[in-house]
Amino acid sequence: MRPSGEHILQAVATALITEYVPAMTAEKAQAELGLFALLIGVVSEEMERGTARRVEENKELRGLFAESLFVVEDRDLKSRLGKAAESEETDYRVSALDKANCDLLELLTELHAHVEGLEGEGARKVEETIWKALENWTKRREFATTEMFTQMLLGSAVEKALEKEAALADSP
Amino acid sequence: MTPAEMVEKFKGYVSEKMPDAEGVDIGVVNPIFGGASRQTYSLELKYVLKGEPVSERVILRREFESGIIETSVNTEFDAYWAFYETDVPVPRVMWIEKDPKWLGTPFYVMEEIIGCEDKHILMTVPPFDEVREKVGDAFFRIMATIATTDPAKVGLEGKLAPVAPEDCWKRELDYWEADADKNEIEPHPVFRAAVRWLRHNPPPPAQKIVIVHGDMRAGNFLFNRKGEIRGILDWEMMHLGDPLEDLAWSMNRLWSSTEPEKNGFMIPREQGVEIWEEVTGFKADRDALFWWELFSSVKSVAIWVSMNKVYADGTNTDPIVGYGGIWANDYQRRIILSQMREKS
Repeated sequence: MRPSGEHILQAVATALITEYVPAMTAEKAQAELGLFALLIGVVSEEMERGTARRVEENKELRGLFAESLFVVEDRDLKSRLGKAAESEETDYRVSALDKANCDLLELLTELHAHVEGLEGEGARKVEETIWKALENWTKRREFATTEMFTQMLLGSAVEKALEKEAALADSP
Repeated sequence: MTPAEMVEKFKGYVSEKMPDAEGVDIGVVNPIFGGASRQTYSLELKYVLKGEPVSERVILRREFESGIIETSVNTEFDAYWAFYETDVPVPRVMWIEKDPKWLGTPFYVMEEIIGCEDKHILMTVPPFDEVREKVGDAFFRIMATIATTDPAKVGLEGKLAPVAPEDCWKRELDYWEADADKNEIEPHPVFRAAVRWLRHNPPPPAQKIVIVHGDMRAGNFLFNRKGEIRGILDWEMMHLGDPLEDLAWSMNRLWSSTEPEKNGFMIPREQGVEIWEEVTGFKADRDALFWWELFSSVKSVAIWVSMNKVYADGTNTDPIVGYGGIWANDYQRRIILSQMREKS
């Protein structure tokens, strides 16, 4: 689709913030419309990166599991990690990738807790690799539009607050 | 229940509560934004009393059918009642009603404090930035006053669940972890790592058992252009506990995202701690404070996880719930990660 879905949604969000939010008179409606714009902003980002971030993350987690097997002492966990490490994507719809991602993240949480309880350099190395994966996990979920749109909305909020103040000063 | 139905029923309620008032009517009705935990309305209450027309602005706070946090309006009402006309500024409460025959769910009514703002982000820009220092100073002094108020002296004795000094941390952590367990719709590995760390590294027992506001932060008070705080709001999570809990919660960087060195866009974090220590006489041991700060991140994620749940299952599709569950959740997880990395 051209223009892209991301482009269209961001244009809609920008129009809401710059034209429609300032025109709203009711405070709650104004605030909620601003939030709808912010929601559209994050959805637009997710639309563009949704598949890529899940594929990338699932690959990273499978690699991490494969590299961690040598320190894992729990046989059941080791077996599940081994199987997960060998799994592959077969369905590239976001919902399917998401399901696989959630399963892998559950396993990562289990692995992390297990490794924390282990002694030795190998365990510490795996633990550090897990923290790096978690850093990547948070970075992949960051939203770039939020800060920009929030600053844009702040202008309207100041304007409304001053209008309210002036109306109060004028009231008998 | 539509706002129009609510207004009609509320008129009947007021008439019953004020039998001497004649011609009870509701004028302007403004829904208030930001009620993730309660449905909130600003109403103009009009009536004639002893021949004199009266008009007053009131706030009606009604429990949602499906709330984000399992709290009761009783707790809020008790807090406002307790602190009214003390050094902790709160609005005057008028009525509390638990009978669902009126508005479907319990609610309470209080006076509206006018001429104030609650959006703390306004303090980052002119002309509101002129008062941020003064508001920040007042905020920490009020927080310290809450922590040094004897529950018995304000009528809260027996109304809040008791807790032993050594159990404060565990009770809170158990509660919020269970809340996340119940509501999680996707895994949160960073949250889980933080919970494990908190359990393995408990803080020292509370210096004293005090009243904890439970949501004491920028955004939950009303301030004016003179730099005064006129009302501390959102008491629904009030409980007895460790005084460091409120201090740490206020320091959560989520409330000052673009200015992380400030507490709630007001004053530097350390300055706030110093004011709090001076007024309370308590010591904010930095390791213990770190524990409570990390806990505040965990509690915060648990709340955003609940928002995600109710938004996803359609029981509450308020945009603040949708956006909070996504943005705040994401931001708070990044804060946890940096806290955990800082510790290791």
